[in-house]
Order: sequence, then structure tokens, then C-alpha cells
Amino acid sequence: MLSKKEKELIANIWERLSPVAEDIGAEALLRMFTTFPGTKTYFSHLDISPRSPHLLSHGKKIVMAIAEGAKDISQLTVTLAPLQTLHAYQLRIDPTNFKLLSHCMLVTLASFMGENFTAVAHAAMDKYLSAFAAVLAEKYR
Amino acid sequence: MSRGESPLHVRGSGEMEREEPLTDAEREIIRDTWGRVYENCEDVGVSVLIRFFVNFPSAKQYFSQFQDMEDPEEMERSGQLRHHARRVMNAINTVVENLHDPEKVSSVLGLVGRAHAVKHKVEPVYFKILSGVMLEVLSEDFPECFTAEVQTVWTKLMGVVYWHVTGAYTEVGWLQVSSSAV
Repeated sequence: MLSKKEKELIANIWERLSPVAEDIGAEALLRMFTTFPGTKTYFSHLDISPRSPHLLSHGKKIVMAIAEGAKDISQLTVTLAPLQTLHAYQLRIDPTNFKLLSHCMLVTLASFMGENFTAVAHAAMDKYLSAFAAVLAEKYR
Repeated sequence: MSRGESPLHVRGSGEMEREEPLTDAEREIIRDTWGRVYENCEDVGVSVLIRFFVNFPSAKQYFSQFQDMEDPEEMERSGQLRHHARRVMNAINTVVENLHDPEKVSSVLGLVGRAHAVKHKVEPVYFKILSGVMLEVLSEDFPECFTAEVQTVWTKLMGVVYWHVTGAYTEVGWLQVSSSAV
């Protein structure tokens, strides 16, 4: 589904964005909590107000995982194995929420990257995030 | 990657491994525990579904009657939910009664899979999630018989069910975004 060029593009983008992982992650989460308030239910134990330490650190965690996966997309199942277990057995997040976060992530990236968020980049990123979400949900039972 | 009919390990990127078939002892355990569960089949079924819809609310999207319901007590009164609970329990009952007949099991689950894929367009992941919820609720409601060993056997059975159901999805050409997408 993802061509070689697309994989390279994704890897490049996330490498360049890693230094601002915290900001991107926090914004994507904030957008998600604002637009889809139901998603806040999974974070009732944290302070998720804008720019709160929890929001920043959680946002960073998520983006770093996405960036890590992007380094070698064909190995996604291997790279994400521990997170698969976490989400499936412990967090038990309704997988439909992954799509919501992916959407908010795309919006955040568009706003960060401006012109560089080309149609090609958008399409590739959408595919990558969909695959990422699908892999995360694989161990659900 | 072909699924094949062989009950031996079929592994592929993103594909569920097909476990070895159930042993005689395992089938006995299943029939035994199921016997107890089926005595209260309607209540158990409703219990399982309510837990499912409360913990994974997106699953409600496929049910017009209780899509917007959040209160478990209200859900318990929903005719559509109760009807579905009966159908789920009956399907499992058919599987359990025919464990010795793999073709029958395959055909029953194939029908379930096709109906959900073609008519209702349900994402297959929900079958996985429902299996997990079912095992949780069964161990809570029947703690004396759902020992760790029994749980393992049932997990295996749920795996087999899922394998057959997703087989039907693949057959009807359901496009799954999975790790094979990478």
C-alpha cells in the first residue's frame, strides 16, 4: 500500500519533526479532546489542560512512537509489538479512537508544515497513520 | 498468502496464526463449561453485550435501536440488543455442539462472517474484541468453572472462531488495512 517513495517521504518528515515532537503531540491530543470530547475518558487520571506537563509528555510519547515506526515502516509489527500489547491488554482503548487521533494528527501536521504538507505528503501520511493504527489494534482479543 | 484448509500453523504478515485443532480433552472442557453457561444463556449473552457496548462504544454504531444509548440499564431493555445476544449465544452453542465436525463449524461461522461483512459491514476487529469481553464476563460470572486452564482452552476456541469468521471476510473481498499494508 505504501510505495518505497512514500515510505522514504514519511521517514524524512518524522525525522525532521522529532525535535518538536512534544509540541506536535500535545497539539494533536488537544485537538482531539476538543473536537471529540468522548476521547477524554481515557485520560481522566491526567491533567490534560493546554500545555500541561501531562499533555506535553503524553503527546511526546505518542509522536516519538510514530516517528520510531516511520524509520522502518516494513518492520512496523516488530517495532510496535510492546505497544500492541499495551493497548490491547491494558489500555483497551476502543480502536475507533485511533482514527480520531490520526485525523487530528494530520490537521496538526498540516498546520506545522504549511506548504511542505503537499498532497503527496498528506496521502502518504494518511496511509501510514492508518497502517499504524491497524497494527496497534492487531493484538486485541 | 493463501489461507489453506490445513489446521497447522499458517502465519503471514498480519495474519492470525491458525492454532492446532482442539484436542479431545479440550473439547470436553468446552462442552462442560458451556453447559453451565448455556443454562442462563439469555442473561449471560445480554451481560456480555452490554459490557461490550459500554467498554467499546463504537461497536454500537451498527445497531439503530441503541446507538445513542449509554445507560446500561436502558440497554438491557433494548429488544434489538437482547435479540442479538440470543443470536450470538446460539451461534456459539452451535459451534460447541459441533466441535467434532469441523466442516459444520466452518460453514456456520462462514455464514456469520459473510453476513457481518456483506450485509452489516462490521469491522472484523470487533469480533476479536467481543471474544475478549466474553471471556472476561464468563470468568467473572462463573469463577468456579473458569479456571486458568479453562480460560486457556476457551481463548483457543475464540481464536478458531475468529479465524473462520475472518476467512469469510477475506473470501468476500473485504479490504483490511493491516500490517500487510506496510
